[in-house]
Amino acid sequence: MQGEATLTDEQLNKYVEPMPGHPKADLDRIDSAVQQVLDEYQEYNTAIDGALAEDIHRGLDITRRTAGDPGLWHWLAVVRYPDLVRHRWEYRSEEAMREKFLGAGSDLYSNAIHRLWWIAELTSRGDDYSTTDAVFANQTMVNKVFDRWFARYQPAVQVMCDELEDEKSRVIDETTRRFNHALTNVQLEGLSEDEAREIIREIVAESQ
Amino acid sequence: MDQEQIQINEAAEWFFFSGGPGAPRYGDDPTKHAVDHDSEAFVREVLQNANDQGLPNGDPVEVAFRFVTLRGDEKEEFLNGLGWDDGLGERMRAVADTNNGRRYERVVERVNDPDAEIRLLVVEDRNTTGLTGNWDEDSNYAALVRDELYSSKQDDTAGGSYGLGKSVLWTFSGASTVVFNSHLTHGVREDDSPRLIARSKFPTHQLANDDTTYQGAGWLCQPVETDDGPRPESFWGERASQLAEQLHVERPAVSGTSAMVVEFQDPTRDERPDIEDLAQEFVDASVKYFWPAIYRGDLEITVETSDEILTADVESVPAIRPFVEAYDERTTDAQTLVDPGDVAGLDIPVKLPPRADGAETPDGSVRLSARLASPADDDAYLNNVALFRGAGMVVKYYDQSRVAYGDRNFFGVLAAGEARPEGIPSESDREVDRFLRFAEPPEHDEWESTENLREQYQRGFRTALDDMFGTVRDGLRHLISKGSNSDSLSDNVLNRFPIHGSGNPRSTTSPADPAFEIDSSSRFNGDAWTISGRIEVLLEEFDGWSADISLTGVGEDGSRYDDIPIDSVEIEQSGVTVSYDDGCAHLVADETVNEVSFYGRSHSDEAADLVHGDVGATQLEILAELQTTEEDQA
Repeated sequence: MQGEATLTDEQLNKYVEPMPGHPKADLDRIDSAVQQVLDEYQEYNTAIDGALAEDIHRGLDITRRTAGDPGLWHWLAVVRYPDLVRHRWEYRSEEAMREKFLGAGSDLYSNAIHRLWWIAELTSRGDDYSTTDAVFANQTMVNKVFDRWFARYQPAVQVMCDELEDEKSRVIDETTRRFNHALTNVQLEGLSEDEAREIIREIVAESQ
Repeated sequence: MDQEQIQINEAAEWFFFSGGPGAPRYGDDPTKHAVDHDSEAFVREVLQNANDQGLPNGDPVEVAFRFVTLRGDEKEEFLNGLGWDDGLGERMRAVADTNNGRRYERVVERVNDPDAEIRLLVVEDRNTTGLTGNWDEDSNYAALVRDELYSSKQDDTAGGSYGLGKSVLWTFSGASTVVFNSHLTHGVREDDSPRLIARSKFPTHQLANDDTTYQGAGWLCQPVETDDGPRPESFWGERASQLAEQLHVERPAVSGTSAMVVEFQDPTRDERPDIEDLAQEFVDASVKYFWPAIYRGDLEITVETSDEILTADVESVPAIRPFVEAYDERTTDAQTLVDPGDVAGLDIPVKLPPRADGAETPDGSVRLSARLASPADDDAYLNNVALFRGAGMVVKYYDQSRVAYGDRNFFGVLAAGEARPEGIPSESDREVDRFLRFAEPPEHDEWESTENLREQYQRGFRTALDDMFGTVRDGLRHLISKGSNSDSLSDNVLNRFPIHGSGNPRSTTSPADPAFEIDSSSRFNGDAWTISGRIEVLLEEFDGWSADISLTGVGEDGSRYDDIPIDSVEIEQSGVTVSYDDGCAHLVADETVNEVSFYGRSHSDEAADLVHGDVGATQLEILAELQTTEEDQA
C-alpha cells in the first residue's frame, strides 16, 4: 500500500479475469494524462482530481453497469496506475489506503480512480464537463455531495452542483445534510430535476 | 444428366390425394401453429426426434446439420430432381394465390430469379432406426411421411410422445417440402436401402383448368395402385440413391435418416441470416438443450457449412459449463457450498401414484445438485436449475433466482429418472422417467399435469409433481443458504434498515444475558416529537441504575446527525430523578425501582417542513447502565 513492494505479473495473474461484455478503453489517452499529472502536480495536491477526471471519463468508454464492477477499478488502481494513487493520496493508514486502491462497487467515493470516473459521469452533460471541473475545484463539494447516497441520482446531483457551486463550505455542509435528512420523507427517484431544484434552492436559502 | 436418371425422373411424379366434393379444406398445416418456431425450437425438436430413434447398441446417435446453398446450374439440376416442372412448381403457384400464399409466392420468385440462391438444410442422423415400415401400418415411415400428430414411439424413455416435433421440418421449409432419404436398420429391408420420398404440406388447393380439390399433402414418389386406391410409394435402392445425389441428400450407408428442408427459412425472422450465424446458433441451441446427452456420450452433433464443420461439445458453450460440472459431481456427499465452484447435492424423494391399471409404482428419488457461481462464470443461465431425465434433453431452465441472495448465486441440475444414477438405472428411476415423460406437454418444455398423465396414472399425479418441485425449492435453499460465514446477509440488511419509530432497543449486555428489557416509541405530532417507553431491570440484585435517552436525526443513508433536543421527560414512579444535559435526558433510579415508564417530548419546531430537512427519520436511543453489588457494570 505504501509502494514498498512491487507485484509481478505472475503474482497478479491468478487474480485477474476478463471483464464480461468486452468494454473498451483508450488507455493511451489515460496513460498520457496520468503521466502529465505526475510530472506537473505536487504530491497530494487535490487539484489532480480535476485535472484527470475528464480524461478518465472519456478514456473509459464503459456502461454504468460495467462501472459497477469493482474488478475494473481494482485493476486500474492496483495494476495500471498505482503510482498515481500514491501520488494523489498520502499514506495515513493501511485502512485509508486500502479504500483508495480497493474501494469501488456501490461505494463511489473511495476508490481513487472510480470516484473520478463516476463524478465525471454524474456531472458531465454530453461533451460539457464544466460542472465536473467546478465540482473538483471545490473539495467540500466532492466530499459532501458524493459521499452521500443521493449522489447516485443524476438529476439531484446536477442540481445540487449547480446551486452550490459558489456557496461557502458551511452552506454546502448544511444543505447536503438537510437534503439527506429530507430524503427520509421524500422518495428521491420520484423527484424530477425541477422539483429537486426547488427543494434544494429553499434549503440553500434557509441555510445561509 | 445421363439417360438412366431421366427415366427415374420421368417415373417420379408429385402425387396429391383428391379430397372430392365436400371434403374439409385446410388453409394451412395446423401443426405449424402448435410449437414456437424459432431456430432454437427447430434444433430442439429435430434433435429430440433423432435422439429418440437411437439404436440400442450402445453407440451414440450422430446428427449432422448441413447447410447447402445452391445457385445457377446446381440450382437448376436440384429443381429438376425435385420435380419443379413436373407438378411442384405449378402447385406452389396455385397455393401462392390462396389466403396463406405469401410465403410460397416468395419461393416461386426465388426459384425464377436466376441470381437468387436457394438454401437447403440437411439433418442427417446416424445410428438411428431409419424409416422402417409401410404406408398402411403403424411405423416410423407412416408417422413421418403419412400421419399428422401421430407418434409411433413406444419406448418409455423417448423424449417425444406426441408426434409433433417433426412438424418443424415443414415449418422451416419456405416451400413446405421436405425430402427424406433413409438407410434402414439391419434386417428391415436393409438390402433395398436407401429409401427416398419427399413430402409437401400445402393448403387445400385447385389447379387451373381442373375442378378437382386437392388435399394439401403431396408426395414426390412412385404412385402405386392398391385395392384401397392409389398410394404413394417411396423410391428404393439405386434409383433412390441417384435421386438423393441430385437432391444433395445422399448419405453414408449407415442406419438412419436424412431429412432435407427445401429453402430453409426461420419463419420468425424477416431477414435472411448469414449461414455462419445460423450455424453458430445451431451449435448453441444443441448444447443448451442436449448437453446431458452429449456429456454422457449418447449424442454427437456437428453443424456443417460449405466452409467449416462445427462440433457441438459441452465445452463450446461457456454458459453451459457450470451445469456440466454440477452434473458431473452430482453424487458428492457435500451439502455445503463454501467457495465459488463448489458442488453440493441432495436426493429429492419422489412418490408416484399407481399406474392407471392399478400397478403399484416404486417410490424413488431424483438428484438435485448445485454449483456455487463464481464471477468468472458466464451468467446467461445463472440461478437456473436444468431439468432433465434419461433422454438427456434439458426440458427447461427453471428460474430459481428467488432462492439466491447476496453473492450466493448458483447453477443447479435436477437429474431425474435414468439420468440420476451413474450406473444402471433402478426400477424406480425407470418409473420416474416414464412418469415425467408423460408430464411433458407437446413442446416438452415443462413437467406439469397433462392429459397423458391422467391416462397413464391414478389420482395423485398432480400432487406428486407439486411435492417434487416444492422439495426441490426447499432443498435448493438448504444447499445455497449454508455458508461457513455466519455474517449472513439478513443481518446486514437489518442493520441498514433500522426500523423507524419503534426505537432500537439495545441493552448494554450481550443478548445472551440481557440486563434490561426496553420498549420505546417515538412519533412526530406536527410540531414536536413525542416519545414514550418502558425500561425494566431483569436482574434480581442491583444497587441502582441509570439511563440516557436521546433523539437523533438520521439521513437517507443511515448517517446520524445532530441531536433533537429533548424538552421534558415525565416519570410515573418515585425513586427516579431526571436531569437534562445538552438535549439528552438522564435518568437515575435507586435500588428499589426495577421498572420505569416514561413519556416525553422534544422542543417544538414551528418551522418544521417535511421536505426541507427539518423533520425526517429519527432514532430514539436509550443507553441503560446497571450498578451491581460487585461494582461491575452490566
